[in-house]
Amino acid sequence: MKQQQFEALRRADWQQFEQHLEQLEARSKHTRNLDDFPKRYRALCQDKALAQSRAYSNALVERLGQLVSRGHQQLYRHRSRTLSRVIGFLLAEFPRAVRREWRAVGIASAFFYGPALLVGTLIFFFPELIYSLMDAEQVRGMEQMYDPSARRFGEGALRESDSNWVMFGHYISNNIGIGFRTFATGLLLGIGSLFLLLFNGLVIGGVAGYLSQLGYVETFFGFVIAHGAFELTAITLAGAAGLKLGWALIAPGALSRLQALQQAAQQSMSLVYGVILFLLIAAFIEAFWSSMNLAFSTKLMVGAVMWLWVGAYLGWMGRTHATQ
Amino acid sequence: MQLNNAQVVIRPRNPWEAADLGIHFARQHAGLLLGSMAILLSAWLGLLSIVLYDYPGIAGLIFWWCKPLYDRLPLLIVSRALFNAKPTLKQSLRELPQQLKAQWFASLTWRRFSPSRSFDLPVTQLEGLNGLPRKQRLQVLSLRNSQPASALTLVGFHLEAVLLIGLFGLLFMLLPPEVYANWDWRFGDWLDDESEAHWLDHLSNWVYALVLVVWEPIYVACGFTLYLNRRTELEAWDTELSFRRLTERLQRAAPLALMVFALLLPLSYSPSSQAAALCLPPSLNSTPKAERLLSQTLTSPAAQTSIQSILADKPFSNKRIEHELKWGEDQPKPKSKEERGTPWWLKYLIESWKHTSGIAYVAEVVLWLLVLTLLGWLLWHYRRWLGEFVGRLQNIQRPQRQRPSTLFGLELDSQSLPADIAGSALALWNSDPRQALSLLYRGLLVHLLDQHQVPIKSSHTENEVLGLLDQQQLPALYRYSQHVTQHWINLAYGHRLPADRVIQQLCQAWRTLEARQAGASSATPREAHA
Amino acid sequence: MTLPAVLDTRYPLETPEGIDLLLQPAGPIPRALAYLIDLCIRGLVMLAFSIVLIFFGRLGMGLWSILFFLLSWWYPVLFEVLWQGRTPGKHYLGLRVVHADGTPIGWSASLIRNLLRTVDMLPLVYCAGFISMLSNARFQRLGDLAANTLVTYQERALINTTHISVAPQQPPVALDLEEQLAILDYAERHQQLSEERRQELAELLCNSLQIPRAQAQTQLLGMASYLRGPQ
Repeated sequence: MKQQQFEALRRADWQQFEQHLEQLEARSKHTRNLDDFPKRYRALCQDKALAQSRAYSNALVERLGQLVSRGHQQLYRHRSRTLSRVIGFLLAEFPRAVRREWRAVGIASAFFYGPALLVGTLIFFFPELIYSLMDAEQVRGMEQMYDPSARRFGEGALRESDSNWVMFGHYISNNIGIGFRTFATGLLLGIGSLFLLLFNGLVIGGVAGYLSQLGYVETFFGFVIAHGAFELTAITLAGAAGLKLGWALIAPGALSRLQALQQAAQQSMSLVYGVILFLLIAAFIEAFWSSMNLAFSTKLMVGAVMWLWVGAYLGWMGRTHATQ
Repeated sequence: MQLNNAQVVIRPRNPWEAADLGIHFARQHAGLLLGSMAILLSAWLGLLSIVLYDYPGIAGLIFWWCKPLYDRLPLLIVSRALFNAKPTLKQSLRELPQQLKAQWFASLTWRRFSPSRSFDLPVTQLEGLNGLPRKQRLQVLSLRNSQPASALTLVGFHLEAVLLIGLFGLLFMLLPPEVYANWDWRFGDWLDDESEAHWLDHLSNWVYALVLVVWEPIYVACGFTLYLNRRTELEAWDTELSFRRLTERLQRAAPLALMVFALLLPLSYSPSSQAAALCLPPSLNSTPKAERLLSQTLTSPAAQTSIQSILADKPFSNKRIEHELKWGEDQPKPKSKEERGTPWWLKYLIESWKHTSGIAYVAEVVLWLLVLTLLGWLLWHYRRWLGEFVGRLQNIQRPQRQRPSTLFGLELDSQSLPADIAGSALALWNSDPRQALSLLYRGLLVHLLDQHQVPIKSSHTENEVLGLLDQQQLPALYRYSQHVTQHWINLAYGHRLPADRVIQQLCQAWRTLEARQAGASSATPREAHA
Repeated sequence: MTLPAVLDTRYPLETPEGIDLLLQPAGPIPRALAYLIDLCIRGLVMLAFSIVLIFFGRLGMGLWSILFFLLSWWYPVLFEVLWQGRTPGKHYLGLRVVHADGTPIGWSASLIRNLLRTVDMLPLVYCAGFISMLSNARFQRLGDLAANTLVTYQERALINTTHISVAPQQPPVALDLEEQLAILDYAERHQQLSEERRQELAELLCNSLQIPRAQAQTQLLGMASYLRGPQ
């Protein structure tokens, strides 16, 4: 059959198909008689294949190809696994990754909480030591932030109710920046991560010790305790992921250093995703909950629940029942 | 230059697609393009930096101004590579001076800021046109292509800036904020301290050079493919290509005519000139932001506390008369009478009502309630589905598998097998060969199930078992299994007896496997590499 | 993906019907322009609302920030999912977003690719996104990679088949499919070519098909008419 005859024979069908397509693309409510759309689509596919194999002109093949392509867009849907993967990550993969890397997590926590406790205790008894950690201006700013006579605390002491989003964004970029640095500097044989963990631990411990000594316990701990559960954990986890990178470079085992690094990076990615998630939650709580002016006991209770929840989540979520 | 040698599919494209082809092409030859560009630019910028050490700004300006000249190197490479005559690094650098000479003055002066620089370059450099012919040619070529060509330059200009800012941003991000917290961002101070200023300006010149090394070849390649596309469209190159193939086929018997396509590609090097892009020098300041933020956090809390102390000292009622009426009703009730009985949230609500502007606050509370309700509803509505998901996860993780007790009608109990399978098989061979071979095959299956946890189900066929084994990365075991399976199938279904020699070999192989397994289980399990 | 020996901008995707869909991933240049257009639209909308909301004081500011949030995060998602994978900017430049398997984009993929814009913007102004696009054979930015989506060109307006008013004429030799196509192609595009070029192309076939040079053009058109068949 020659091209012109073929076109004459099939043109009406193509035109009808195109009309159906237009209806579907416009998502019009008055789409009727579309039951045979798949059938028509298959017929069109056949026409296109015929036109191609019989060497009809490029213009015709192209035209049919475009119709097929548009029909394909309407007929097929993608079955996405993303959602189930995300849920799987939350329900099992992330806490499992943390438990799998318990050594790195332990080291990172030791390097973070250890100095924090030590310096905190020291500064509680010898407050002037704070000036070897930060300069006078920073100390003054910090005091103002958590002054019990202020109505709102934290960095957002100035803001009003409709600027919570601004603070949220600020906390996100700030936290993620710290997390990113702590993780990425692990490439320097892990030293960068250790340094940043230590450094952050010192500063946080110092601030806590200094403010407790001033008697700002309620404002400071009331402010930090809830989001601290997520934020501090996230920083130690980021440090652990960084340490894993560093360890892969120091002791690659049977692999080449590059391979070991790639493997470690792949494995620590679930930690990094979890860190990002935790930091987002932390920023959210910090912006919308921590700044609220509530009774200290309420805040303490909620904070304790958060810490317990984080511990329980990381410790038990996704465990298989091996004993059964 | 033969059109037949073209390394890209020649067909008329839409201009954007043509530019995309340029990116693909640049990526394919990235090594040569980036390498040659890096050599050229570092040599030139190195020279500039040494000569103009005290004037880094001027060095940067000259470096940026001469951009049209650098474009010629990637174009040289790209145009050759397109026709499968990719030059080596040495060749391209050696030919460069010749290419630079052509119309260099025009390129650097009145054509420096032409928005379609990379699109025009092939006309000057490859076709070697100048003056009026060049102008007419460009008019024909850019009839419908001028928009993408200038968009390319526009996007390119932004992309350069983006990459530059990005690089600086990356450097900046890796510094802890404690390091730059005390930096003084004012430019005046930088200029005072001359040595530091030079160091930084030279650094920024070099970072810019790095950006050019990456982007300029892509930019040139895109311009070149735009140009090619336009010619394909105007001159139906693809049709020509097919016609040539047709002629070639028909004349194949006759002496092969050498069809040289007189593409006006890099044959003539007349003085060329060139127009230029809007590429401005990158401004590098993320500075003002930092300072503003700094000063804010330092001064604003102070202001706030002083305001608050005033508010706290005096009763509110003095401030605004119209508000007093409203609060006068609300205030005494919770505070004086029912202080203990009031739930904390109500107190909070009322407190906040006083502190913040009313409507915004109500709006916020309503919104949050809505969000929480929605979230709760979603969780409730999908509780079954979520629960199922958790259940499924646990099912997946449960490692226990039902071990089939029979496969293909063969008993798969390790107790039913003799201790020395190979010996028993050899002993049985003469009396009952079928029994002997089945013994070997059963031994193999039990071995696979018990030692290697191959997930065999009762629905699998013999060949599917082999396929499963293939995924286990045990080449020695796999080879042995192939042999046994093949002979077993032949005997069981085809009633074809293997030769005596074969059974001996199989038994031998089985013993080696067993021995290795014993060795492996006593030492570390290295069987995977055996 | 291994690069084919000969580069092309489209890559075929076989559908269950055995048809090759030709997907043409779009590169950074049209995509940047599309983004620019969308940015302008969003900016204008925000400006218009600001002018109205400025009269509402603090409530207005609250609404404004909500609106800003909705526009910056949901504008691309809603448009892509509800309007055949296009935002206004993409539509203007003839682009659309699809899954990598050619199916239309859905909620989850669109959400992922647009939320991960924040990663593409790292460290500043889309630097990571650009580098990812330049180094990826299908021009995927990081968000696209995560969501497994592509930005492709939409189907273009079709070339009208030109009517050939020359008497049909049988080719003197048997032509294979590709050659028949070339002659049809010549007939369809000959009006866009200059007279000299038409003649030049036609003359390429003079020797092998034994046509006189003067009639080369008409004879080729006649062959095309023959190949197409009677009306």
